[in-house]
Amino acid sequence: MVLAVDIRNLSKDHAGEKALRGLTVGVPEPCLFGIIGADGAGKSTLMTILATLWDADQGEAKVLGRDLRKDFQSLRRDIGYMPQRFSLYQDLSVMENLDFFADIFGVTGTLKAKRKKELLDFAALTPFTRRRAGQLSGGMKQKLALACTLVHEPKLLLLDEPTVGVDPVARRDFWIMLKSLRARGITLIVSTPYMDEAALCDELILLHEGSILARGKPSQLIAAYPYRLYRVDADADVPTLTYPASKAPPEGFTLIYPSSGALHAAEPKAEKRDPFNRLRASVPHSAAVTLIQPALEDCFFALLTGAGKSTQP
Amino acid sequence: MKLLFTIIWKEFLQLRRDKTSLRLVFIVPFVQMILLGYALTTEVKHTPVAVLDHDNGPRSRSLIQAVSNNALFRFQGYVESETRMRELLDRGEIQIGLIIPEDFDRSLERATSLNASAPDGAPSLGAGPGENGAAVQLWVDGQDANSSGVARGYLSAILNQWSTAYLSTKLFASGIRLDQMLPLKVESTVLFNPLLKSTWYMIPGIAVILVTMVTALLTGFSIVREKEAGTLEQLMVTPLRPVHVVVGKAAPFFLIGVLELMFALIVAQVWFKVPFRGSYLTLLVFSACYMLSSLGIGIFTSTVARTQQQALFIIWFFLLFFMLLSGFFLPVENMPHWVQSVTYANPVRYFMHVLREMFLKGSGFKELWREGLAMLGIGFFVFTFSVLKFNRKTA
Repeated sequence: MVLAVDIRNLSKDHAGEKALRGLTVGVPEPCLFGIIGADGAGKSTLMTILATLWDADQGEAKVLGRDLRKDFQSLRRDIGYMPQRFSLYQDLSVMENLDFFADIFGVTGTLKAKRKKELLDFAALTPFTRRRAGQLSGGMKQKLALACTLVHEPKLLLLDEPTVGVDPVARRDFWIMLKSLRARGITLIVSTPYMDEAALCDELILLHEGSILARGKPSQLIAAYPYRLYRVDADADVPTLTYPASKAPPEGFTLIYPSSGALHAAEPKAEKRDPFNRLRASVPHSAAVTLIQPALEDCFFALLTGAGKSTQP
Repeated sequence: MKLLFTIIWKEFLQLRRDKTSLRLVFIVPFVQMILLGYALTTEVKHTPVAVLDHDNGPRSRSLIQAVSNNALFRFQGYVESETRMRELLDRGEIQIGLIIPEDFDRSLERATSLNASAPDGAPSLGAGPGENGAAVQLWVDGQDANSSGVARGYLSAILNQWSTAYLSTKLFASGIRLDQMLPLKVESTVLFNPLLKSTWYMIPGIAVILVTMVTALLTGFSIVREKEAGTLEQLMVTPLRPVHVVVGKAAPFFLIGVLELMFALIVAQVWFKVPFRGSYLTLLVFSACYMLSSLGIGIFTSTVARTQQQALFIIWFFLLFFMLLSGFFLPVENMPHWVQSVTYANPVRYFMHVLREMFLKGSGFKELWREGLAMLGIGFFVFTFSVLKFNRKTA
């Protein structure tokens, strides 16, 4: 299997903290690869290193078969990087931004015209070519940024939290675009804090405090969920159920936490007692308990609480 | 080369959109030039003077008239006592006080009377031993050492002139022509600026300052602004190299600098009627050499600074030194030797010299090639350093 990115034991200190602690991961080609994690988990640090902007303190990294440190100049021609912050020229128009990046990457003549047209169609920006980038909506800005990083047809696309601060409809559109790029054979590495987006990836890693907590296809991660999961719904007269995070879970349960208006409660698969009675004892307003399939969010929650426990003395 | 053109073109597009900066670049210098052209003069004029006349005779009044009629002084009237004179000096209402003693007339008379009692009968001149002419006092406010020194010099000259004229009239009555007896006669011819107008000297200097400020400040912000906007990160993951960014960013401001200078040249010649005697082509070459260094300083600041605020601070720090040590107000020759050697690293000093020489003397390469080379050298050094200093990684 060809690896688009091959990282071994990568470490990096940033702002006096260990941002990455000995990361080892391989990203196959092609792939829509997700990096999931909370703020400060090390997502952006990893992205910036892969984008050739930072050097790692330790470890090795090969990108597209080339050494990240030595061949960064040639790699820059084959990588497209979209930083977390919108980083196009706000005072230039959509077309001028596209032109600029095309010229810089040496895309000229009829090829340039053709590619610009494709990208504008792809990003649904054709009616707005004369508008200043700064006056676009959040979602359109991100689409333009994506178009600009695609103008030189990179083999590897690095997107650092591309949909943060973008409305849900635009987010969905954006992911449809990413999926279609993946279908064309481009490898994409996308970091995101959103679990619904994580589910759309081919493969994921979950970063936590600079280390990989879990890795796999979304379906594999869900299959590896170690608990039986229930959704606990509230009485009609109580709008939402709450459970204090500091309080120990109800008897026989390992985890209980709020999720989309209800509570999710997880118990070991070996537990045989009736869940409802035990829940009622600690959550008096619970009206119904349904056995459900875990989502990625539940998987990560379980992993993160496990990680939290293991780091405690 | 094509990459360079791309980034220059982008800069122009952005500059065209930045109406505020454009206004700053062209309107503000115009206002400054006119205002400063009138304000910055080294001439000492209209020095306020008051007189305390203890004698109050016709001769003392004639002396006072010689002072009050002169345009270099502004006659603030008579005062009645020395206390009052001191008060006016304290309050800064006058800069010089002229005090005429009680026995002015008598002393004058005695000093210049012809002594007919000499043994050989020949007329001899002057007062007896122990007697001098009338003692006129000047009280000078010496806070501003330079201008008060100049004003005192002017006033002494006027008084001496009066004194000579008095003596000459007196002797003429006895058939002696004093004007033919003076041992020294000074004939001076003033070249390049015959009327000794200080504006002729200052206006080219102001032009240099304006061009320096605009070019150094604008380029100083150019790269930092992209750092702050996050666009530099995006630029760095492209095949662009530091030399493209550094040179590409500076190039548009080169053009602005040249326009600015042309503009200053027009204001100088049309408004202030300062003659430009050099060749425009030569000036263009020298300006190019100079701007290499002024733009270089801006670009260098921009590569080192992290925020626009830092850039502004660094540039101001440099510019202040550069301007004060350029010979703009104070001749470099007046500075202590070790300070003078520091000024050799100051590009403004060279261009200040070049522009002034070109304006009034019409000098060319033959006289100014050393300055040209120095500016070129500094510019080349700063640019190279900026390119080397430009980090290709962000951390």
